[in-house]
Amino acid sequence: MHPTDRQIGDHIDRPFAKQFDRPIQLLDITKRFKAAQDGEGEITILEDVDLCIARGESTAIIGKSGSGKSTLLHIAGGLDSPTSGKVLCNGVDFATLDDKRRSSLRNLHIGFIFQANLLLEDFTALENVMAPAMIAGRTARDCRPRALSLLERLGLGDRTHHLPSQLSGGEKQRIAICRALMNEPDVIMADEPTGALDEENAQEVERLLLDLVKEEGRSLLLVTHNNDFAYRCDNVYLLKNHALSLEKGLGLDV
Amino acid sequence: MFILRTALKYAFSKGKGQRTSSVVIVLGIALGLAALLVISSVMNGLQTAQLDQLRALESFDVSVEPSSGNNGFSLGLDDVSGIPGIDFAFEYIETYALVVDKTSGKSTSARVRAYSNDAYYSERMAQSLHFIAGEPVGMDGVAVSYTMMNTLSLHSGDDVEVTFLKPGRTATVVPYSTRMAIGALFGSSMTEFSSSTIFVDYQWLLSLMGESSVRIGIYTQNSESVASRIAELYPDSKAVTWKEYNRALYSALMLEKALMYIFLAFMFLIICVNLKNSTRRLLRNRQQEGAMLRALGCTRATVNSIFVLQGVLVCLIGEVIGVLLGILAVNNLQALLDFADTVARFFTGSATVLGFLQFQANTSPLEIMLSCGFVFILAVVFTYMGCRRTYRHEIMEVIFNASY
Ligand SMILES: Nc1ncnc2c1ncn2[C@@H]1O[C@H](COP(=O)(O)OP(=O)(O)O)[C@@H](O)[C@H]1O
Ligand SMILES: [Mg+2]
Repeated sequence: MHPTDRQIGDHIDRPFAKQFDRPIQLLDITKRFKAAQDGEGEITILEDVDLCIARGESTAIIGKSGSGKSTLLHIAGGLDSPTSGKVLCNGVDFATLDDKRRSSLRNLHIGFIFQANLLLEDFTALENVMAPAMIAGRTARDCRPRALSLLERLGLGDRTHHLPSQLSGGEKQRIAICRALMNEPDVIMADEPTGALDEENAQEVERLLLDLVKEEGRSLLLVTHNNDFAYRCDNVYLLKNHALSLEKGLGLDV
Repeated sequence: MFILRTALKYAFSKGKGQRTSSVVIVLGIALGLAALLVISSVMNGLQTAQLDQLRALESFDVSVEPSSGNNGFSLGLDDVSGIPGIDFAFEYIETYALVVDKTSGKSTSARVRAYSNDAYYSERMAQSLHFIAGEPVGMDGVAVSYTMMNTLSLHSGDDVEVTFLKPGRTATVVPYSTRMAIGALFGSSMTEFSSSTIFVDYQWLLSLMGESSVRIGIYTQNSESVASRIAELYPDSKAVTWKEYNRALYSALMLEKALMYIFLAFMFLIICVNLKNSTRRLLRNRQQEGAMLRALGCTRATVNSIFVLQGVLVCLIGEVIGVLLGILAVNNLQALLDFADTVARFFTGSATVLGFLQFQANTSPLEIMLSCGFVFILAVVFTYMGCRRTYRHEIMEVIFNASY
């Protein structure tokens, strides 16, 4: 089924519509980077990678540093485009969309969590959480209740008006989780969300992230080099030699 | 809404000196605009005060005289009055004389004026010229000002000896002396004018000087068009507008104004270069955040517009403060001068010239709007220049570079 422009418009009007049971599909993805600035030679990061994220399931990708996990995640989220292959978000190929539509799709269907330092510095905790909804055009008054309840749920009820500079690493990451969930996206994409945290905070954030994703019924695409964390997900893939191999779970055929 | 809020937060962000630099730029624009407003208002005031009086008293909006070699005009007052756009027209004669007080022996040279009919009481003239005692029309004697009475140590009831240069039989001038009583006393808003002018009766001066010395003075709002109309209709006469008559003074004022504008334009240029650098620095510090915003679902255009808008907001805030400050200053100019005088007096221990200055300020909304528009366009262009080089990067690269 190929959705038409109207259906994309429908997503925007009803962002929480559940139309596809595979919100993200990667088909035959190859990604190459230029080896050097001046363009001679290329290095291959991903080669003919297929990946399917099922609704409500969590998927982890493990692999050595530099194996291309982040690259894969960015491609899956439409932040970067593949050299060849297709990325479908709810059945819509990112490559066929202009910047506006692609941004809107990202805004409404995907929530990102990065490793560190990626909160908006001048926004309070609450404003950071509300940002995706405000970008979608909703008013602050409209989206404040959900933002507050998310913060409350993650134990940040008394930190709502703090700036990121006044918060600890663990708190910041919990805010990033709230922000990723704000627009009730289909998929949360997290790139080493606990990588910059100490053991104790890392476990706390891990637990909260997995619980909340289940609670809210979202899919999770997690990139990590922490095997314990990864194996708490439904599916685990290992990225090695430019390709994915299933380590845990049933996986899904594309 | 989100764009506006984010732009505001960025403009006055606490981190990395951004707030300081934005506040400095806001203050720069505000003070610059306030200064521009005050200076241009004072200059306009000066122009109104000086030139308007000049044109009411000394040279009129348009003066018509016979072109050289002609003995009198073909046109009379009635013909002139028919030309559209003329508020008031009158005949006048002007010559020069030496005034001597026989008792004190003091003397001064003076311009001698005589207006026909009721020109003295025309609306324009009555604003600057007042008769304190006596009547200028049908007067027996001369009308002088207090200033001249002081200069010559005259007392009311004194006689003066007046020596005119009048046209002789052949094309010569001959001196003509006569004793005249002080027939009236006047004052004017221009000390210059008062101290150097005497009035005599028109009919009397006409019989002395002859028809060929008669000029026509005109008050009008469109001196240029009236002058050219007269030149067209009556080729034997020469119409001179007040601008031509006072060209030196007028162009000096214009030059001063132009210089001030050029100077302030340079100042704004420097401020805007600062704005550009500040924007560029902000962008460098906020590249990651820009990428983050893209990940959250902002389009590239939205992110760019946030950065341009923050510069525009800094400029607009500066302009609003500047205009308010300027208007406040213009309305309290005298108080400001008094304050400056008090301060100066505190240091010098004596009264300064500041205390005596009398300024009449005249704010022109058009000038304010044009200046604001100019500064605004400058700010937009420079902010845009500050943004131009960024965001050629793909989001991925920025996030990649930033976190790993
Ligand atoms: N924009 C880019 N340009 C060139 N090379 C890149 C770029 N992004 C990533 N790479 C390279 O791709 C490889 C994989 O990077 P990344 O996906 O960040 O790995 P991981 O997240 O698994 O540590 C690295 O060798 C990195 O140098
Ligand atoms: Mg990585």
